Amino acid sequence: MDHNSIRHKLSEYIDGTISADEKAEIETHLAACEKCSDALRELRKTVEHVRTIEEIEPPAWMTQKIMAKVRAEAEQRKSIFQRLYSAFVVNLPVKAVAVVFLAAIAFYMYRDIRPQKLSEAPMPQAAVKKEAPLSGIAKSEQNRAKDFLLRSNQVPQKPGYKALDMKPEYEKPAPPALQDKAAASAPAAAKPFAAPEPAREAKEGQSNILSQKSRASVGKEGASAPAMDFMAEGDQRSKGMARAAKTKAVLREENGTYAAEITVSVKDLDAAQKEVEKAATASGGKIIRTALPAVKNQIIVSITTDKFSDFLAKLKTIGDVKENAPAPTDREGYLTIRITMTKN
Amino acid sequence: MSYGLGINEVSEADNDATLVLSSQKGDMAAFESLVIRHQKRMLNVAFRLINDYDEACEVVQDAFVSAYKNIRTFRGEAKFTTWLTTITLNLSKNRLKQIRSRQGHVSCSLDDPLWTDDGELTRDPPSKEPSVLDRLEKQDVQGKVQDCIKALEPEYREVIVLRDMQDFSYDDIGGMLNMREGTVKSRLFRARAAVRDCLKKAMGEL
Repeated sequence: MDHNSIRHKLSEYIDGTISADEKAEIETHLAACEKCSDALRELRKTVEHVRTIEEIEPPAWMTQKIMAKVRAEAEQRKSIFQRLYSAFVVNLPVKAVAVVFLAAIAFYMYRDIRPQKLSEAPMPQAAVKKEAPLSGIAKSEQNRAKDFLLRSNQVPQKPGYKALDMKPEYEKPAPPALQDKAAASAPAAAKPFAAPEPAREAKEGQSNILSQKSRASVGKEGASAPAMDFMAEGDQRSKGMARAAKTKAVLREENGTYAAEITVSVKDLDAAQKEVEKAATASGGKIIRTALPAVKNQIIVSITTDKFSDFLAKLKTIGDVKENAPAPTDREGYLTIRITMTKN
Repeated sequence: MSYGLGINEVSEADNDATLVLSSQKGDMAAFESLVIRHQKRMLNVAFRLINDYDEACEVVQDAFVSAYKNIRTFRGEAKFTTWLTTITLNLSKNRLKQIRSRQGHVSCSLDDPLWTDDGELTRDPPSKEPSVLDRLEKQDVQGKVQDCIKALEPEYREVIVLRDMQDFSYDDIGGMLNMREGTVKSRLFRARAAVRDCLKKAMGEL
């Protein structure tokens, strides 16, 4: 190494961070070179001077001031955490409970709406079309309607459903003497819809499909409604009216009127329920609803009239069957039947 | 003045580690102990870089607050002293930039020539104040050394402060200044040579 290289290494040499070989080489050179030895001496003296500079002392208040700032920072951080805590730890569960509550309400609403959809499903278009030209038998149907009037009068309807009833405005009003008592006691706002004809009320008590048909016939033929009770309409032009009739049919069902009401006396209610469901399915029927929370041990079944007797026979194998209201099986279409199971 | 290496430093580092651990758990007294232990050293680092006592005190306060804020991020991979010094260094350099920026807003210097009313340039009469060298001669060795360090550019000053005044290793300095060890050695050699030349001028000989 030349003089310049040696002098560049002197800084590291002083700090002792040089390799053994380099150290030996530098020391050999320094022994022979006075200028480089002087440079080393000066550099050592310089480093010594720098290292012996007196330190300055911090002011007496330094620690307190630092800690005051640190504590202020800690408090600020704490308040931030508290805000976050209240936002996520306190508010979040409240919001979660609210969401669960809303979900539960939605579920129960859906469960109430679902049977309506199912009951709408079996509306047979073919049957409707087939029955459409049956206006010739209007008179006998009117008599049958009167029979159902008597039956429906046994099961009073809630005034609340009257208000929801969507009858057409041009429907012929019934004589005041024959108006439903419940309708008479309904609120004033509901009154325009609460004046059904006696025959119509009877027909509504019969079955979903039949009440829909009768509504449809009213929409088409106006004042001749009583004569058209069991006439299938299915007129696509009066879809709105049909929808109203469907709604009414469901409301009637909710109100407790069915095409037939059957009581089955069994020993094991749970087993019987499964067997009834099985029998209904085997007979081509559809289970609209089972085991309402309010009314247990009841099954609502929608079944075609031609399969009704088959279904009835199957029920008899399950338990003692009692028909509270006999089903009108002499028509084509669907019957909505309520089967109540009692323990014998 | 030097913080010696060896057994004392190891035990200090262990104590620091314990105090840091307690501070991380929210022990304010432990952090206060760290402040008491290190505030003087940090003040000296800041002061030698900024050359202003009040500004250095501000920087040290900010450095400890910053350390407290980030104490949970300190994983103990480096020594607490190294970590804290890095914070102090960075804050000192930022403060120095601010100070220089403030000074830079002065549009003219007292040494600049002045335009007279008749459009001629005049210069200030030669100052009767002693020159820098004259002043250095009158000061004691300590003052002269300090002035020589003060006269260094910041990038050289920080290296000589960290190595010769605070006794950090080349490796630590490289980590703190984010530079390779070779660069640290080179800068240190230049810084020492500059101080040596300055002192030779001030004192005549070393």
